[in-house]
Amino acid sequence: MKHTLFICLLLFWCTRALCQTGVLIGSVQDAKSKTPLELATVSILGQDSTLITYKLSDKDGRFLLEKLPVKKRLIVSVTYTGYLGHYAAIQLEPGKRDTLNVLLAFNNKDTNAVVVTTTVPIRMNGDTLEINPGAFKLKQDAVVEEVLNQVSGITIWSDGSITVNGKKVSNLLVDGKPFLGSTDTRVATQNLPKSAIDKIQLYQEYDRSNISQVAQPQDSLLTMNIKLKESSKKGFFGKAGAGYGTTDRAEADLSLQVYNKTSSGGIGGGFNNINKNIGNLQEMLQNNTYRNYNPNLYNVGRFGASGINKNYSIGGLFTHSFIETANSRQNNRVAITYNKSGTDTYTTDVNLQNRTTINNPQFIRDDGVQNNKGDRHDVTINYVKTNSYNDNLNVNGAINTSNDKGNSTRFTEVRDSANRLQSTNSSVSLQQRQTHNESLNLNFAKSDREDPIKGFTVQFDARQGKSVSDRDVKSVFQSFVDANKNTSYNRHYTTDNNSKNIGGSIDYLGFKRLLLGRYNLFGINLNFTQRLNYNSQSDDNQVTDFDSTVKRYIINSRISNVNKRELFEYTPSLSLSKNFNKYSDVYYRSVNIQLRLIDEFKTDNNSSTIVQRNLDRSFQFFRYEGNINYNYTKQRKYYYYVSAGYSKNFQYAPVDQLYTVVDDINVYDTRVGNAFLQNRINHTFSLNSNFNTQKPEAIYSVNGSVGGSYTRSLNPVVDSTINDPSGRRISYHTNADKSSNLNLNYNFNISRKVKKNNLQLMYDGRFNTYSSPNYIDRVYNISETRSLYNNLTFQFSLSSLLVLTIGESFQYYNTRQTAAGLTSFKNSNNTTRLGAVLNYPKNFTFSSTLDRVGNSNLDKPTNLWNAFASYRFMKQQGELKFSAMDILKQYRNITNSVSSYGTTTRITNGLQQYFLLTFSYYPRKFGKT
Amino acid sequence: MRVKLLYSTSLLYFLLFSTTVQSQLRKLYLHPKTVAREKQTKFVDSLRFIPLEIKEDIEISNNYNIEVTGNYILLIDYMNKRLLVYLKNGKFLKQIAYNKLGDSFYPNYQEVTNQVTFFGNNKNYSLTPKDLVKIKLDWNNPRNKKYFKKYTLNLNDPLLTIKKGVPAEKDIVQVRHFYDDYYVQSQITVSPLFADSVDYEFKVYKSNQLVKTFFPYNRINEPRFLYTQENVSFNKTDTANIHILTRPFYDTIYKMKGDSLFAAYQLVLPLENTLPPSFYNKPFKNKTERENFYRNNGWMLQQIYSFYETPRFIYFMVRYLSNFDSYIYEKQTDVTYKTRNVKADSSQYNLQLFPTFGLMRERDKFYKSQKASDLLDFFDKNKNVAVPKELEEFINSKPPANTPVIVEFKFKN
Repeated sequence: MKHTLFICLLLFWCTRALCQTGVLIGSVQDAKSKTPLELATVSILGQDSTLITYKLSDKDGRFLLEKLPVKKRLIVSVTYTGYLGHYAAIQLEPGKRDTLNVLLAFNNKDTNAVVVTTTVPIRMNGDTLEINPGAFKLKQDAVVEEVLNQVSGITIWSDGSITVNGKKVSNLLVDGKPFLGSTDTRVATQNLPKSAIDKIQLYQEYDRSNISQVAQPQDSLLTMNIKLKESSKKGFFGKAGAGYGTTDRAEADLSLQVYNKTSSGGIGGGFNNINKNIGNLQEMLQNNTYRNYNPNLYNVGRFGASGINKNYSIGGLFTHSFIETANSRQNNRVAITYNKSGTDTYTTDVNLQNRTTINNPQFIRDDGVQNNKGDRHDVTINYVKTNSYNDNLNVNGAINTSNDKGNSTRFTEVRDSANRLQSTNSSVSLQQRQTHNESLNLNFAKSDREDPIKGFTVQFDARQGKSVSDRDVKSVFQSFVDANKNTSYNRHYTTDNNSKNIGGSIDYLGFKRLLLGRYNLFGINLNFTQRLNYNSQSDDNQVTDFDSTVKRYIINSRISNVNKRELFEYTPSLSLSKNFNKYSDVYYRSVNIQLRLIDEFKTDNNSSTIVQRNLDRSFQFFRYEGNINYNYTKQRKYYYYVSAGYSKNFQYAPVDQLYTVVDDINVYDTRVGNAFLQNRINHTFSLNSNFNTQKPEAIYSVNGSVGGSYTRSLNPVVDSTINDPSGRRISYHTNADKSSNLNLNYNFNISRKVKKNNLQLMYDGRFNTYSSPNYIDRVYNISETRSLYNNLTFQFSLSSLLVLTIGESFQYYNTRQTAAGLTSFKNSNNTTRLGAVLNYPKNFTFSSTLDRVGNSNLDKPTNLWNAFASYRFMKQQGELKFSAMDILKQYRNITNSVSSYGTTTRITNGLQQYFLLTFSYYPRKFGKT
Repeated sequence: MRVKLLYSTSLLYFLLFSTTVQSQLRKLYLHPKTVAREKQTKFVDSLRFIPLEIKEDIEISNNYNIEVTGNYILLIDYMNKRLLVYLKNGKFLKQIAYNKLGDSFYPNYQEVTNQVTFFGNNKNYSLTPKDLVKIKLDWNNPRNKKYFKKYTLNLNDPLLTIKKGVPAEKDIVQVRHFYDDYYVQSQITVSPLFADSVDYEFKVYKSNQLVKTFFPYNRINEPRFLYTQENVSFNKTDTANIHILTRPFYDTIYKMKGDSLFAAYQLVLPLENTLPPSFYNKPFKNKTERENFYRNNGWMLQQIYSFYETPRFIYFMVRYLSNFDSYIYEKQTDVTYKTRNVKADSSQYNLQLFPTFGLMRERDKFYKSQKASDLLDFFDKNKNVAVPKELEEFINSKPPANTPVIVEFKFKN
């Protein structure tokens, strides 16, 4: 934390040092009449005509430009449509104010037949804010993100998200369509060059997913649309890179994307043995963008990942729009992706667990070695058709298959509080599994205010899956307390699972009109929804034990079973909602109240070769939920939103809790069912709020949110656990009177722009507390577990030259027992992160990260220091990068977790020090640019 | 021979006459992107201020509209749903809230009765456009009256209270007073619910009798008007019984003297702003297709509004399919100025007199509400400029910044 403070002070000093700047004030008037000219553009340019800053004059024609470079020759440009421009050279002195009063002469040559085009950097066109990239002088290969970084009111946060006057950009489109089918902004903003862009538009768009609901201001999405120049409507870009390093570390990345007015395609792939995640094609495309101004320093070998993983992936995507419109109102497009990926993992881990029992806490050490290898194929298809904001057709299909093989060995030992060995368990397992899943999801919505009786939304989904697996387990348990309890198993499991789910819902929007005709029912909106769902799950579990006397596997009829569960659900619901709005010139506020009445009918049939598990059950649960939303917007000042909700629901015990198939091979966690379990009732209260400033002229941009929920459960299913001295545990399901769970999550972000420099502070955290009764060794107890996570990141960008990041995250776990004789535990860890990117000299980038990881279970913290140097050449299309990872050779993978019975610290193997040299080539061409 | 001579002379006369008539259709050239700029003093003079009595909770809003009646100045505060009644000398008389009437009620001043009427849908019912057509077709069915509510504020009554009225046929079928005892119906609706296909864009009634019709259209399936509702716009001129008429999707400005109509001007726009021929004969398949056409062709002409002519200038507004602008046309130079490009100057106290909305005209006078702070700032910075007499007391009283002041002005003659 001391380091954090030191860096903060250092950055503060840097910021102060930068305050040696000049100020220019003045006015713009009509030369003849001396009328003040409002909204004249006053631009300050460098000697090479680069735009340093700009301002629009106020209603009295006055302007004020602060933080200007001093002792430097600058050009002032004052332009006003219809007038002759004024240009002057100035040189400012530190701490002094310069005044410039400009008299603009009317351009008599202009007539109504002449249209003058000016390069105004930013302007409002109706409800749309338009940014003209041509007005920003940046380096030749600058991309959209660098243009956005120059625009006041726009903040690009260090996590890649973009806010405009405090509001988050939810949709990023290129010519009205998602670019290369991606929902992530980076594929477009970090690849498309400034020279290919005609203009960048920002506007509010109706969220079609809310067609069935009454429109609320918070439902609108802030959309950024990048309009390409006519000459750049087709192009290609990508990256091909390969690197090799010490200890045989290697990586290779490939991405190539092409687009034209209606279609786009891309291929992406890669291989590495540095734990870099490349399983997802979209992720590959997002992580291999052209921009290097603030590279994601964590898109490198992942030291936090467990084990050593060899990853590969190869895939492609194709998108096609069947119409050529450049607005997002009309869509008719399809996107298809295919991806093949795989991983080969070697993991060793040590788990250190504290576990409470009556008067005798146990300490469990579990050592394991695992080898896993898996391959998967994924195919997805997405089709979208809309004609307006009142209709929406969205079809998603997906197929995936996977094939996994693995083996593991584990050795567990349990000790008492005096460190005496109570028992050991060694196990060796070998498993393989094949899965095949298919899913189809369809959403159609149509509303018609002129003919409300025709409005409806339909949602349909179908899924089916198949999974076949084999597993051999040899397990030997040895008790040092009671030798009679020693066991030895050599067991083989064959499992064949099939699942199907077909469901759909219809929300009839014309219900009120149909029921009440023209009667308005005090403005209350009625929605009637019907949902049907059928789920079928067939499991064939065959378990055999090796009989050493007859030297063959004998079927274990106690565990082997064939089970089929069919669940049919019918859920009609009626929702009532009403809006109250009030607005004026300066504010808008609305209250929305919703009440939903739901009747759930469930028929659950279970047939099994185990007699007790043949159950036919029917349930009817009448439940209700409601919420109230309030939002307030003060125009050009701030916005906040608060929502509070309540819901009641029921859960009935599944057959696996009533009649559990008990497999005693898991000596440390044997579970036994309870046929008398009652239904659980949950009362959930939720609260969500967010706030953001919306001051376009402010240098600060602030946003934050707080969300949380509290659930109180009646008759929760809990454990009654019997621990024997050797560490064996048997848990029985039983009902308790009540339990409670509280979740809180919050974040707060603030950004300050100082000309082209930017300071960002991002804070987020979450808190969870769970209070649940249980029985431990027949003693009634309430286990209270708490976890707290806080993360603070501070980033300073000095133009595009230097980016400094400092962060601290802290995690705390605690479990407390109320019964006498039980033990409470806690653990914690913290990470201090430092990062720096220096883009100097030209074409060079130097960057480094340092993570200092502390853990309450370790004597001293470990450090992970990585450093990178890259050089761009071949007209900025070639890049040579040197990576030095874990320079201090100290890193260890350690994670903490908590349960009702204790805490666990897990230490795994992972990457160790290596050095890597990578060459990348970025092919790119955008039309004629 | 004499007959032939008479015939030839008559023919020549008629030809000459018809050419003269033709030449009267003056063309107004307008480029929507015009950058022509001028100072406000070129167009406006006779500025007069009506300072309004200072009231604590009355602050100017962009959404004020002004009505000048025989005895009063009415400020309509749409945002706060209230009517502020002042005497013509600016003395505050009464604040009349109409927020309790419902969301769809807006004040409408009717000079002929000197009443403000509030006519709207009964909030207990939700009516679709189809419902409205059905109700209009069966307007005299007493059951249909429950769908509407009407309130009136009689400005001749010194109590100035809103009273409940009974919706009448004229309200339901939207007939408006024209002049003398003439009324007009100018709403254009197309629906398959109509049995008879012939209707007229502009219909003149006298004592409930239809006396004149103009511009026929097919009210079952006219392509221009499918999936929309339009109105012929009519404005008074400085001369009694002369009105200006403009039609939706047409660039011609008509003058109506009594009940005779003739084309007066044609607004000529660049080709890119002109509706294509297919718009007039190829019907849209649905409302969405029409909306998409509007969205994709936002700067094509929809209708001309608020046309007002003086000897030197013409003031008018143009509604494009997705945009809106107002202009001043200088007859002598044939130059059109966007009012947004007309700049205030110090001789008019730096007051911008052409807002996008909220400008009211009564005969040859325009009325606009202005913030007191605009005047206070000006006189504070320009001590050498004399304060107009009618403003002296007001300025000296240091009114709150957002107190409204009415500015009355005329176009230069």
